[in-house]
Order: sequence, then C-alpha cells, then structure tokens
Amino acid sequence: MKIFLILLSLSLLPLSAQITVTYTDPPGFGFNDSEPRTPVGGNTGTTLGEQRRIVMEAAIAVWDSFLVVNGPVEVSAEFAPQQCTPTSGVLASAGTTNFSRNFPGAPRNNIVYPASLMNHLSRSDRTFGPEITVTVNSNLDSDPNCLGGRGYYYGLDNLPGNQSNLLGTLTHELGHGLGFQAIIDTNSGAFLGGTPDVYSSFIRDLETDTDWQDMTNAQRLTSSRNAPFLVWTGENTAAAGTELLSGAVAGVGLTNSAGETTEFEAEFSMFGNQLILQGVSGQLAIYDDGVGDTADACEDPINAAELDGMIVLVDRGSCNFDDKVFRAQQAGAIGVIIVNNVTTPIIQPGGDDIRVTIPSLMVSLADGAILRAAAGDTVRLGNSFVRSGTREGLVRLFGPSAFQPGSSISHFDQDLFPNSLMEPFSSFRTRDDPDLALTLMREIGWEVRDIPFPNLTFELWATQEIAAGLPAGPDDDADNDGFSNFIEYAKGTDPTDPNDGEELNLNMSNDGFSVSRTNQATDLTFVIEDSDDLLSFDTATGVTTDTETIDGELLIEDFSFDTTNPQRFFRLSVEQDD
Amino acid sequence: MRSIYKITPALALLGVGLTSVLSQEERQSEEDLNGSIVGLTPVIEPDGAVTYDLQGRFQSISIARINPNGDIEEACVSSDAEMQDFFSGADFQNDQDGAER
Repeated sequence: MKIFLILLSLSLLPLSAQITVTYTDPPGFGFNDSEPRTPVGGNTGTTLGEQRRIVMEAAIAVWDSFLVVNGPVEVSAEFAPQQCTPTSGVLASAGTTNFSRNFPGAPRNNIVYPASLMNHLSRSDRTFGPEITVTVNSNLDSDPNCLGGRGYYYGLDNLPGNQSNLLGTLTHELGHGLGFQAIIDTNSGAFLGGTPDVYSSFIRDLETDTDWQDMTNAQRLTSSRNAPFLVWTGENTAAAGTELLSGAVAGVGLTNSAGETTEFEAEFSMFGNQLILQGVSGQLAIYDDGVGDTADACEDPINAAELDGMIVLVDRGSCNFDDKVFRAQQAGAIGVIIVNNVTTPIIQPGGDDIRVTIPSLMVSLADGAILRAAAGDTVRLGNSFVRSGTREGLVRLFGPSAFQPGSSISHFDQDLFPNSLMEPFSSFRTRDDPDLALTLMREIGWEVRDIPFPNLTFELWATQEIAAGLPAGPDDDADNDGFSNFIEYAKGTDPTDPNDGEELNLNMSNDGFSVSRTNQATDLTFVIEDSDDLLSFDTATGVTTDTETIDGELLIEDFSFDTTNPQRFFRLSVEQDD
Repeated sequence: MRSIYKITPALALLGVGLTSVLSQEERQSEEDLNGSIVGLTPVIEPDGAVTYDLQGRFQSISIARINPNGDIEEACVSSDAEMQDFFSGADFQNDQDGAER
C-alpha cells in the first residue's frame, strides 16, 4: 500500500521543465576557459571556465528552486569584451529576447509577456531559441586595466571583498530576463505595440493616482521619473513588504483639517533631541530669511514671530544642518523638518552643536513639497510605522530623475531595507532568496512554490482561493466542511476542498505549546488564554509571547505553570489584525 | 545585430586596434541600452499571437565604478544616460558635497 501511494504521487507530479543554460563561447574562452583555478568560496571548480559555469548555474538555481517552470526557458550565456576603464566598466548585460501577446494560455488579453513567461503560461516552446541572453564582460579577468584588475569573484558565499560578485550580478540580471522588466519607449513613453507589458500593468503613480496603463504616452514618460510616487500595486508584494521591510525609524505625520493623517519617511539628525517614542506635535511654519533660498535658514529669520512655538520647515543646502536648526530654535521653534534639496535618498543630518536642544529630521524633496504646501496644518515628528521603501502601503519602484534621466523603472526603490535583490544598486543583503521579487513574479504570472515569507491577508487569500460566487467571508464556510474560511486561512488548508480541513489544535508538550498554521499570513495574532474554571479566560500568564514560526508551526516556548494552582485550562485565540 | 559587434578572442588576436575595439564595445553597450520601440515590428502568428523580437534592445546592464575611497560600487541600468551618470559619479559627488549641510 505504501509503495502504491508513492507511485501514485509520482504519477501526479506536474510535468515541469527547468531553466537551462547554453554556453555559446568557443573552446578555451569564457565559460569554457581552461585556465587552472583554485576553488574559492564554496565554488569547487578547478578551471576558470568551470568556476564561471558553476556561478551561472547557481544563479539560475536561485530562481529555479522557487519557480514552477511549465515551458522551456533557455538562457544563452557568453563572455565577450565590453566597455571598461580603470575606474568604471560594464559587468554583464541580460534581457529577454522577445515579448508576445494573445498567445494560447495568456491569462490576460492585450498584455505583452516576456518570452520565458510566455512559454511557462502556454506550456510550450513558442520561441524556438533562447528566451534570455546573458553576456559577461571578459575584460574584467583579462585586462589588468579594467576596474583596477580586480576581476570577478567566483565564490558562492557572497563574500566578494573588493571584487565584483558575479553570483549576485547574474541572479539580479536573470530576474530581469524572467519578467522584472518594463518595456516602454524611453523617448516617447509608448508601450510595445500600444499594449502594456505585464510588469507595467502593475505600476501606479500615487501623485496622480493613475495606473500606467491608463496614462497617455506623455504622461507615462513623465511619470517614469516621478519617485517616490511610483509603486507596485501587487497586493501579495504589499503584504510581504509589511513582513520583510523594516519600519522607518523616524517619520513625519501630517494631519490635515479633515483629520486625515499621512506619514512620511524621515531620518533623525545626529544632534539635538533625538526623539524615540514620545514625539512632538505642532503647527507647521516655513522659515523665511529673505535671502536666496529663503527657507535655507542660513541667515536669521525675517518671520521669527511666525516660528515661535511651531515646527519649522527649512531647506537643505548652503550651510550646516545644526546651524539651520539652531537659528530656528532661537526663533522659538519646537522642532525642525529639513527638506532634502536633491532627489537622492535622504540622509541623517550631521552636526555637533550642543546648543541645539530641539528635535530635527530630514524628509525627501518630494515629501517636502507636500509639507510646504500644508503650512498651518498639524505635524508630528517622531517614530513612524511607515515601512522603508513603501508609500501608502505599497512597495515603491525606482524612478530616477535628476541624475538618471533615462529612467529605469525595472527595479524596486533603493530605499528598501533590508535591501532587496532587485534594487538598482548592489548592497549587502541578509537573504539568499529573491525576497520580494518572488511575490512580484507570482503576480505577473509565474507559479511560485513555497514563498519563504508571509505574503497574504485574509481578504487577499479569499480572493485568490475562493471562486467567485462562493461564500468568501471569514465566518462563511465555502466547502461546507464545518470549518470557517477564517479557520482554513489560519490553518493553511484549502477552503474549497471539504476533505482538506481540520480544527486548529493547541498542542502542549514539555517544550511549550505549538499549533500548526500557515506560514503565509501577515495579519494573524495567536494568543494563549487560560482559565481556572473554564468559565472565564484571560491572556495566559507565565506564557511568554516569544514566538517562532518554523515550517508552518507556531511554537510558543518558555512557559511555566503556577504550581500553587494545580488546575489550569488553556485555549488558543486567533485574531485578525486591523 | 549583436553578432555584428561581437569581438571574439581570435579577432582580438588578429590585431584589431584598441581604439576600434573600445568603440565597438561602446557601440555594443549603446545597442544593449537602446530603449526605443521604433522599428520593432510585430509578427502575427497563425494562432493569433503577436510577437515582437526585441533585436537585442531593452537589455539591463550591470555596471561598476571604483569610488574615490577605493570601494567598488555596482548598479544596474537600462539607459545610456543612467550609465554615463553613474560612471561620472555625479550622485556620489552630490552626497559628499551635501553630507555636512
């Protein structure tokens, strides 16, 4: 019987292709270079070519281990000389070979998909050639004048020292080839063939509250440089952002006359009163020194009476941060907002003037424009719950303006923290998986297995798991198996399969309590309650709130019994967060 | 288009001048970073699908520079303007200039 079950399982496995790679270099060159090499950083290759192939295949494996690939995806890879000088150069280039729309299996009409995703969705090979091309600059290893002769790092441990980490570069570039890529004309803003690509169909400009697919070409071209208002509208990615991205340490809350509050990300100054929890609130006023940039606070204010008791907005530039804040303080300001004067990320204002006693922080140029227009409204300086790199709960995309006029929308914003694989600039990462790019890939059409972080809310789960027409509320029971949709969500079972469902059970052992749950929920709180008499329950005492989720099991450890009372009952409460 | 500009090791050994090689490499980068849809023609397939061969355009390019402090910094760009700005260090200079004010 056991053997029969195993065979049955195997027979039901979906036919799954893999991402494959073809090396097009001639013998003795590039990926086939036979120069002897010593294994490095977990790369066991003993020739240069073998080490390069191992890195390439490790980069592919990062994606292949999560994507269910139902059609062939071939990567054509080569080394070739590319641009390089002693101080700058190309590392590698990559991209998809073609885009298609309205093919059999396409989930959305009049949306163009990259070749690799098209093959997956159509479960066939529609391109008859490579879907992704990768070219690596051979000059890095062969030309001692190229980037100082540092060469590539071929280790697999992401510890490149002062070399270029080829594994990170290739993993990132493959992400573009798999669909993390917008296709709009960089001169006109037009879509390819007049229809959106699937990536662009998830882009929204929050300043105009308009999706890219609803814009004119000219509007889209302008919007492509409109950071920090460009966001990814995919809800799985937004939910995952609440789990993976840190809350900003500092923030500005702006409350308008209607009582609506908007939060802006900020950076506290290194000097003065560094607010932690208490925060400070007041009316917003604009500094005016009457000279040049009248708000740069590099001269004494001509409107000092208007600044007394207020939170004062000043501009970055022309004099030191602590000088600006001290002048505002002398006029009676209770806090200062320094507005960045460039579109590059905000920094922590430096300074060491011990005479400064009030708090101050920096906001972005774009957010400063909004605040400047809200003079007289109430603002609060303090801790923020804005997730880094997000706006209105959605993950931001990179929309360069002043220093990158060509615009590269095909990245997450550089402000995400911890850093993401698909940010435009390389940086230290704490995760080995493609992080938020996995949910993004799922949203554009890939089937992604075992996303290793929560990315669901109940409402999103119900939309995706319960077919239209079936009861989808939390107290409903779509499959009539006796377990509510909410319980099936918390448990991670199929709400439309009456044979897949069981009660949430609280298990107790010598190590603590445990309950099997879904790993994917972002909006659930599990609470252990206890009672002496089964009549009234309260949050259990003696049970720590330290929890750790391992493979779908919530472990609640380090509990202790009240030995003076031998009778104690426990139950599990599951609540949906606001 | 790609094969026109590709310089194989054998070709380099045949004595192609440095200036010429660099020029071709720069032209290759420009071609990779071509973000124009002009001239990309649709192919209508028998089942009604419409396919566009990107002809090597819309590539993403990972680039690197060595900053004045000796650190190597990398970025991914998709336009020549972005690449040139990164190479020029314009953003780096701005951060340095603005660090204390």
